[in-house]
Amino acid sequence: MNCFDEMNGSGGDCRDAYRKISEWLENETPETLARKRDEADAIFRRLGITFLVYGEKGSAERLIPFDVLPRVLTSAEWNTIDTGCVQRVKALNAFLDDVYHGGEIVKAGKVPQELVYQNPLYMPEVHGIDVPFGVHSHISGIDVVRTGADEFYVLEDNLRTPSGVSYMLEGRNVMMRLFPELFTNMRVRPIENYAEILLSNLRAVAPDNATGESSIVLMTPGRFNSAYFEHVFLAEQMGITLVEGQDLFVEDGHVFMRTIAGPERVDVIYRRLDDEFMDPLAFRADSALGVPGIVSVLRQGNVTLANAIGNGIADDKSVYPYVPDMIRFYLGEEPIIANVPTWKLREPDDLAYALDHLGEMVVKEVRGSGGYGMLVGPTSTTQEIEDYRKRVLADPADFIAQPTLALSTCPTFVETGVAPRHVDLRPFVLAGKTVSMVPGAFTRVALRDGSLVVNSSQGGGTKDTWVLS
Amino acid sequence: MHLCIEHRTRYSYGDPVKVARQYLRLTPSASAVQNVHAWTVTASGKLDAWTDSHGNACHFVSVERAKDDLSVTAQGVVETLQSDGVIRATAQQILAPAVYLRNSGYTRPGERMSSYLEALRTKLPGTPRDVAVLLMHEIRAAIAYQTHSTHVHTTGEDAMRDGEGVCQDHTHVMLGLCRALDIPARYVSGYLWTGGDGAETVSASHAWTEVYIGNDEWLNLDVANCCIADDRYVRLACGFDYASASPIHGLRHGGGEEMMDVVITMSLQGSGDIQRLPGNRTHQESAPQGGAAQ
Repeated sequence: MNCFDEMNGSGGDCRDAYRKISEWLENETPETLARKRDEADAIFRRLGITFLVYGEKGSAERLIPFDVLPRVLTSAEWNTIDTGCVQRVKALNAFLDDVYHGGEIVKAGKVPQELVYQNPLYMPEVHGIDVPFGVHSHISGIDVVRTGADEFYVLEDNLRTPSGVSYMLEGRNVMMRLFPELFTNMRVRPIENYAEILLSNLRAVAPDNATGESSIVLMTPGRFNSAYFEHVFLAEQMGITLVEGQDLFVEDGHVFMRTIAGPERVDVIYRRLDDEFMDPLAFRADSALGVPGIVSVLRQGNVTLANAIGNGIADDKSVYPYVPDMIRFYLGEEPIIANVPTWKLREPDDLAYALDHLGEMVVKEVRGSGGYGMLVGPTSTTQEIEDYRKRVLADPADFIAQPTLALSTCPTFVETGVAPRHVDLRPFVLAGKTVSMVPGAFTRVALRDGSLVVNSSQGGGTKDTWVLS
Repeated sequence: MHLCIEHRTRYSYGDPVKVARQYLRLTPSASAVQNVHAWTVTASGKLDAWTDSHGNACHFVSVERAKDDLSVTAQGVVETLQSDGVIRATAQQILAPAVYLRNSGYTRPGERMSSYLEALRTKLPGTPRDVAVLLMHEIRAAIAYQTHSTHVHTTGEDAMRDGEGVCQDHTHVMLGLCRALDIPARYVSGYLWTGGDGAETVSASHAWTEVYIGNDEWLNLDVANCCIADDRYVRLACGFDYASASPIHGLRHGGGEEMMDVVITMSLQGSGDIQRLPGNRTHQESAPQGGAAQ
């Protein structure tokens, strides 16, 4: 596949963003790079940054491979990503606030009614709750891919409990320790104020009736969760208490935390526990991870959850094709970053087209994530394609199809030396009173030659992302 | 009619209960079909009032280290009104009617309900109202009213297969079939006054269906008794199914074996006519993490 390389472009001349990296690479030996990589691994291991892969035998924790070659974006490129993602998150929050209130976009016929109200990800239990500033997704991971010098697409939105920001922050710390001279030579914009912005947003979204300094906690499902280290890391960075469901309880219409000094009222919960576990009296009764009664507190406006319950309705892949229309409907603007063209297989014409072109397309389950359960046509065998065809035909509405994008590549240090590998980008958009991003992101890289699947659970690695000023 | 209602639920346990939490949907709301003149809810733990997204007046109950049995009592006076069985959406009812097309495990049609509906399809009239009334008659004919024939986990599909059930099952089948025909419908829990004409009472609390007939109007249909709900009906709460409209939904830690007693008494205000409905008595084993109390 002919694809855009972020260092060498389509032709072979080094692009501006990478000029200094290119010069530096010419003077580095594979031995030095290997040594730096080992150092990076040692640091990550010491920090305890590991990733639990679900479904693996013994669910062994392992390190996500970290590539020591940074991905570099120019100020102009970043500007597109920044404004485009901020615009998108504003529209997605407006959509969430709308479908959990009057549903104007449904009434206007822009999004099919059944796609919203009969979607299992739409949570009627939280309908009508007023959230501060209309923000439902306080932390959004927007997955962006690149196919050319000026071609960016949003591949998917993550508005529930997106993870990965600790890789962005720790990846930067590691790079600054390994390559201080590069940071001296290149003007890389800092990202270290991420936790500060997040904390100030969380303060801003405290309920109106909260008194004095608002009390904020980070709620984790516990140490068996794949992103537990990130929960610990972020709580530490923000200086807030890390709690589990059993540390919290509901009384008199408020949430309280058990402390040595007695119960302490909690105003804002940055929670990394999935919706269905949050309140066993309202959702899954078999869950012991949540806080029984918390839905009653939410409905009285006495606690804010970040992110809010019910956000899945906005990042569902069946709703994704409507995001550009949301931007037009709520903001009156044209999307700055386009969606990947998407065939909705619930529609007969789209289904017919996709079935004719399965071998060229990427087909995804509308409710799948983590790169599981998808078909990448060009890299699949005839048998795999035929098996997938049967699954699609059994329930077409459960699938969408997209063209196989020629994801951009970045120089990556692999077994054979420095070679181009496909990447995507997950910047984190922070919403409170205002919506903003730090100039950085979690870059995922597909380490296998030719692979387009960047998910950590599928053999992907990470890179530090540098935005030049 | 002015109906005095008392709804007492008592849980007794083999061991002390460490923690219990409950959502109660035990407070009737005023609407076109009823006025509520006095209503109180008391429980063994701390009570906090809230309103769910269906517009139900709810309470959250928290109990810590109970020494004795747990009890929940709701009582008061409801004035039921002569009406055409139609209620209009109120300010508290904020969910779009289309949301009530959602099925749950209780209501989702399986093979039996689907083929039953297919067989009926040619007979179906035009308006949602007429369709719903016809479905009510058909379902009542297909599923015999049989006390104790089913339990709280019986689905509409189960009842359709067995051809018998109680009001809860009739309602679940009705909901699943209406929704399959794109007619929003919701589950209603409440009380049925049967003291006036000497009719026999067969259930403690009652359940029926509200069907959306357009223009913000919902028609109350009781499949079990095959009629439009009138002033004998007291509306307590609504939801998608039995679970989301149930009067008490709880969990607990500790307690061991649970015994539950429900006694509902109804009488006409100012008359000596008191109706005591037979209570439910159920056994439940405590689940390791605290099972559902009801």
